[in-house]
Amino acid sequence: MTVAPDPREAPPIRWGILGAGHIASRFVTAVQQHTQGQVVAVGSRDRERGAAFAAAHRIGTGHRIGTVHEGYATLVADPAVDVVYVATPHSEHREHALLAIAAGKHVLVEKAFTRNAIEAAEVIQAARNAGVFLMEAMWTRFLPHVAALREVVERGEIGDVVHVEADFGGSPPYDPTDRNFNPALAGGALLDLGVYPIAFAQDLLGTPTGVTAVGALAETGVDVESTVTLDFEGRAQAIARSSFLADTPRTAVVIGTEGRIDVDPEFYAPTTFVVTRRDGTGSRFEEPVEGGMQFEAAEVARCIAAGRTESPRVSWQSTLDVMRILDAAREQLGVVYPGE
Amino acid sequence: MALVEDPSSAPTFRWGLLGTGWIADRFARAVAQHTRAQVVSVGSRNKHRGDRFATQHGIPGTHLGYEELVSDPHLDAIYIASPHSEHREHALMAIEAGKHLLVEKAFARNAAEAQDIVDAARSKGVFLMEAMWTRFLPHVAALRAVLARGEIGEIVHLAADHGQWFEFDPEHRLFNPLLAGGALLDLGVYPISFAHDLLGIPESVTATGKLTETGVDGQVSMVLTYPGRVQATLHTTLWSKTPTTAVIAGTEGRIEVAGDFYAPTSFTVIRNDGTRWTYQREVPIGLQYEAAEVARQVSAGATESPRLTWDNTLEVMRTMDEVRAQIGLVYPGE
Repeated sequence: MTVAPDPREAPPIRWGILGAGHIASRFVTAVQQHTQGQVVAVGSRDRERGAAFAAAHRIGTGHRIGTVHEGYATLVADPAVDVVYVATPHSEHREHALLAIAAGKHVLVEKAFTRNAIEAAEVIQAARNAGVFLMEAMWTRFLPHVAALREVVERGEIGDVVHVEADFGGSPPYDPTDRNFNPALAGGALLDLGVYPIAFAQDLLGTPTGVTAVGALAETGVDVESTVTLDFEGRAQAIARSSFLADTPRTAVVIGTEGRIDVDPEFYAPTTFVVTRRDGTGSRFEEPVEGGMQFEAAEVARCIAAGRTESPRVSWQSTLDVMRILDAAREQLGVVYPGE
Repeated sequence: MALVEDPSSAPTFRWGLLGTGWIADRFARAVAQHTRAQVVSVGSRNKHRGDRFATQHGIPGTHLGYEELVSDPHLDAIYIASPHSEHREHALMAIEAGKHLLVEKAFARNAAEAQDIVDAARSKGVFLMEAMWTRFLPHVAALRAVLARGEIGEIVHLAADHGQWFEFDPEHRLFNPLLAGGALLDLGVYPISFAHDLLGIPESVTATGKLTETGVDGQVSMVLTYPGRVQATLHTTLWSKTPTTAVIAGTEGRIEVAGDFYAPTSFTVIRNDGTRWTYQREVPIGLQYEAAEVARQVSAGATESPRLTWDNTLEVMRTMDEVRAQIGLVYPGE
């Protein structure tokens, strides 16, 4: 039984893609294949890259030719665009989100939302003042398996949650200039991968009372490995691990006094989970899902159609909470971005 | 090819059990069913419990009280399975009586007590070992071989957890500070020892935890670091049964150890090149391997096991002391 609304039933909306990279490609595919939304324009600083992206995704609808904008100023001013999807490097999210908001557009910003909480608060305030919709693209929160496991928890099936653990480790080749390892592009495993386990824990346990981070840095000064332990009011703790040094299982576990939920890899993407209860009973959740980002895209469309400026599921407060955890972790690890 | 010796090939040996609890029960069965040794005597402070235990396991002798047990001349070694808070007292008693000994984990409440026991054994010239049975299991030998071969490249990260659910009872040894209770000494010792086995002495220890109403640790999360950007993330709790799995991630692949990682189990090697294989071997109980090790070393005239040395035990104890200091857990009289 599915607990997530069908993305196909969300109202149509017109997307403008700011940044023609890998995650934008996945996003556009999900929107086109699984929602009523249309991708009408793409902006890229590299004209050829933008054109290739538009061609690959056949951007535009019917007889209209989709627009390739060189640079972002005309993309955000494009009257055919309802909402801008910001998918440039983390270091540019603030600037590009503010650009879109100033042009009166609704905005969906890729995670990590910004480099730090100060930038995040700035972007949120701008959206509030402009009366536009703004959301962090934490797509995991809209997936059917996450809705289902939250229901398991809310029904008390596993008792009180005392521990949440999740890991996300990959092994990209070391390149000091690329967005993974370059501090000028706000690189590091925390902002790229760690944001997922941290957001997962925050989703289930709320705002932590303490953040403890232990990790290691690359020669460029960004974090390549870290374990972030979160302490919460009461008995609960969470452990969030991220790494650029090794592939990890990418599983998650939600541990309660009456049982636990083991989320199969990859926990942050459409997947299955198993509930094991102390009384010996258990269950398995399995709902095959193609893509995955269509659920967040549908949420954006629904909220905008309803005149909302914020999603209750990935609220501005939640985005700030997660950003503050990342800030605290980076401070303890000694990761500082230029100009901070 | 077997990486560990068959426990039933170890010399005959005579065990005396000090304590009749859950793990003593398993130890007695492991020895009787899977080694050539015998449990010839059991000591208990409670006559009824001692007699019942002896009957259940076909043990010929019972002793009321531990002084009698350790003085029994027909024993080669004593297996100490009383509460953690009493390990030091009982170990010293057994050493004084000239007995070789195997002491249940956690070895003692802290490194100072552990040092006392080690010093006494050294002076007396008897064999002494901590009963960290995991170290002697076939799957652990096999995964150490995988690591030694470089199959997963350089180790980057180790994760291990051990949580069990216990019904809250303030008098129970798990919850009672007087009996040196808490998740760490009972359960957390396994992931810590496992990390120590594979990664050595940590450079730094960072721990946070939550205490129970009785003032022992209910949950502890630990991060240990080692030279060269290596980390271990360890977790323990007495509030829930956790996956009890372990993962060792390296630059060329990883090993995923199925639950319960510290008991006979399987593991899967997943390499970055896409290949994977699974180690699987049926092993009943598991404690027979440590029992066999004791018999072999004693018979060879050794006073410690090269697989689990006195230094190893002290190193693990020091890590636990550091964790407890950080989470603010002090036992009465420390």
